[in-house]
Amino acid sequence: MNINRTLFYKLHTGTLLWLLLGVSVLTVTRVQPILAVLCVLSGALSFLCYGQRLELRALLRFCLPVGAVLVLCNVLFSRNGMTVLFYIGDAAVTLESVLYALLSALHFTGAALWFSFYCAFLDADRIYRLFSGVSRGLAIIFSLSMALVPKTLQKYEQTCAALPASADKDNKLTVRFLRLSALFSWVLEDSFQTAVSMKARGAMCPMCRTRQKYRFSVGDTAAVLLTVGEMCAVFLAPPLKAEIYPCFRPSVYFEQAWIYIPLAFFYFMPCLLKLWEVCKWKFSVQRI
Amino acid sequence: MEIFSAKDLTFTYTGAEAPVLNGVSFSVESGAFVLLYGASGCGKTTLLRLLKNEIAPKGRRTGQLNFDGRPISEMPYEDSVKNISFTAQNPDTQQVSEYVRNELRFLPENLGLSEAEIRLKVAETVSFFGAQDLYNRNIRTLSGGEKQLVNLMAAFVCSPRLLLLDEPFSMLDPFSGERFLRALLKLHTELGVTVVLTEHNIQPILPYITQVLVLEQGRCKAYADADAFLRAYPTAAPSALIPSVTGIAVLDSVPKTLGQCRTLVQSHKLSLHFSEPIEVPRGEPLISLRHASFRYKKGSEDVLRAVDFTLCRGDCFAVIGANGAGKTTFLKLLSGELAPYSGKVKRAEHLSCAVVPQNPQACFAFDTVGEILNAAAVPPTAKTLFKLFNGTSNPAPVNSRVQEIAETLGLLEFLPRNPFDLSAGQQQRVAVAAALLKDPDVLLFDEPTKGLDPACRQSLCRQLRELQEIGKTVLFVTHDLDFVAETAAHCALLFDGEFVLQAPRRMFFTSGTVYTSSTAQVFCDTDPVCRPVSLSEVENGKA
Repeated sequence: MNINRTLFYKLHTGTLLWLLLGVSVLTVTRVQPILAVLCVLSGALSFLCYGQRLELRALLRFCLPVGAVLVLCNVLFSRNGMTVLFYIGDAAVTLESVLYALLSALHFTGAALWFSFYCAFLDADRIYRLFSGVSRGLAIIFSLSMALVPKTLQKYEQTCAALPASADKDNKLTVRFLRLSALFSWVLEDSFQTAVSMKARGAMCPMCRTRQKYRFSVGDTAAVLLTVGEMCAVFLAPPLKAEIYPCFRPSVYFEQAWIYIPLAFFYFMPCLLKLWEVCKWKFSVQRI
Repeated sequence: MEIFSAKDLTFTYTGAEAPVLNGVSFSVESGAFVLLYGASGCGKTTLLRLLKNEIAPKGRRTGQLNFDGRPISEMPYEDSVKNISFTAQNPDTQQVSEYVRNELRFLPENLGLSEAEIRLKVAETVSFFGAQDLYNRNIRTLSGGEKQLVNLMAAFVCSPRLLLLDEPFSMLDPFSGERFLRALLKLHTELGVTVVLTEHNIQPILPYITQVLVLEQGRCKAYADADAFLRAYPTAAPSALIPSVTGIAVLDSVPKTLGQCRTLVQSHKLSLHFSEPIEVPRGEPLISLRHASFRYKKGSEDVLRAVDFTLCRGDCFAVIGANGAGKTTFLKLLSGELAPYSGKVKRAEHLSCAVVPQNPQACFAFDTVGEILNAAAVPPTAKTLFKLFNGTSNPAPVNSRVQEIAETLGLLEFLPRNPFDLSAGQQQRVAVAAALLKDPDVLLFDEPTKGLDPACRQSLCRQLRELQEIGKTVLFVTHDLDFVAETAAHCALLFDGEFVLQAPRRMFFTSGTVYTSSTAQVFCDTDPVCRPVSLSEVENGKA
């Protein structure tokens, strides 16, 4: 799927950053099992909605083992909790420590999912255009650094092929040093060439200015206002009002379960936008 | 009308003793198509960059260099950016943006144009080049040829009067190069843009060149039209060389295309005879692939499909194919860097392979060429490495073999220099020398002639023949069909992940009409048994 043509991609870079920030802050500052589950589910569903099944699978392959390690470490080293499940030697394994570790693993997976999902939408060009109004030089450095990561990884593969290691242990270490040395020189040299190309195209021109290609549209205003209002409502609502500061004790609001409805709306916004797009297209086709 | 001129131009890099350009004088008319010709490191790129003030190298300059009658060094920044555009050799390092649509906006934004003007200029440029298919693409997903076309569009977007191109074809395969050349010619012929470019493989652009400036060790050796240049330097292009070696007297203009050359040869009815047998004997198998298939990701398409291939001792094998055919992947399977997901790879015991990468920079781990070659000959230990990185290194040859290889490849004078200060062709030679010094059983080259000038190509060709004579096994993947015709004993054509033809060299080049050498194209009407496929055969056949 070409995500560049989706409604979500067309949102202003600032709006996208705001949504990413909102999701991250909301999930990390509330130790809420339901929010963590919502975060992971909505993140995974967003990947699927925008046709990034393979990327989701690759990410889960990384996140799930890391999550498992987190659970294992917490179970082995944390002795907190009242409900003892069993003993390993003299050490008690409690239900609370298992649940808390599971929650941490969900937080980690959710954060990784959302960050990767937004990375597909927040490319280096958008970051450059968002910040170049503030400082063009810094924006160029930042966006080029973002683009440098995949390029460097690609170059590292080529360096490994050009400087293969033998089975000898001492040689392995030296070859690793040599590879890093070659890689840094190469990346630096290519950066110089990019700088020459930029200078040749007037990067230092005194009259240069970056046009904001992505306009802050009505949709952006609506998205930001909606999420701001929703956040205010949620944070000022009785269950969360008392916990305006980050809390580290897991809790679930069974009595005020309605609070999760607007939060779910917030988490599933990319999916809802996609749904809206699909429905709109279907109705347009029917009318034709 | 003169657009720019140089008079007694001399330039010396900061810290260098000898000037890289020495008393160069020439003038270029508006609308001309000028070729800067010369060996690697003769000062072509320096001259090109001096023509654009904002990227001019640091150093001492004397003499005059004028654009539109006024010194280039006094041109206002905006004027220089707007009127003179520059495209560098490496298509991968020139982009600032992630998407083509944003890359094209970079120059007009820098010139402070309004949004409406930017949109118009970008739309005009994309339409002019017929590149709507590229407009919304991520630059990372483009091929080398497409990237170079984007670089040309990004340089042209504000309609410059002078276009400077530094070896724009050197990293492109012939078919990608064709699209780029069409775009360049459209600019030149329809819009009258003056083009100044450096290039080693000049056959495709020969018919369009109006003037050639020949540089030799920084001095202007000749400045003439294409015809006079080809009479003085027939080795520059096969179409001029073939009449020269066959002894055909060229009365009118020197043939500038292979078609013109063919007509000339046909009119003289040459009879050529060869003693080379069609079948070339082969040694014991060293690496064999049986039904090997490979894909980079599960679920993605196969890059190589059920490939059967055997590399034997003493082979000099060339693998040819367009971009994306799977050549580099095939090379990685042979070297053991990748493994097939189905099929088998069988290697002889204790077999050592060395790979010369497509980008020679990948193996430049030291500050000087001498250290790189020494490390290739005698692998450094952790202790020696520590000494090297602490600046107590010595670029002098560590043994006679380093000295010998460096001498053969013309690298002796570069031993104390930083490899990144060398030209692309010289860098390629350093990588080749480093691979040769590892003394492997099998040498695998990925595009060995990329960026090499004709003299270096000849030298590499000789080197490969010598290696074959002493029993080394060589395999290279390349687009350079003339080099293959001169060097290889066996050839294979890789298309869409499969070998469609594997044959001894002569059989390979006489059985195709497109994937064949310039010489075979010129002599295509000759009987295949006595059809020459390389220039050396033309010389031998003539005798």
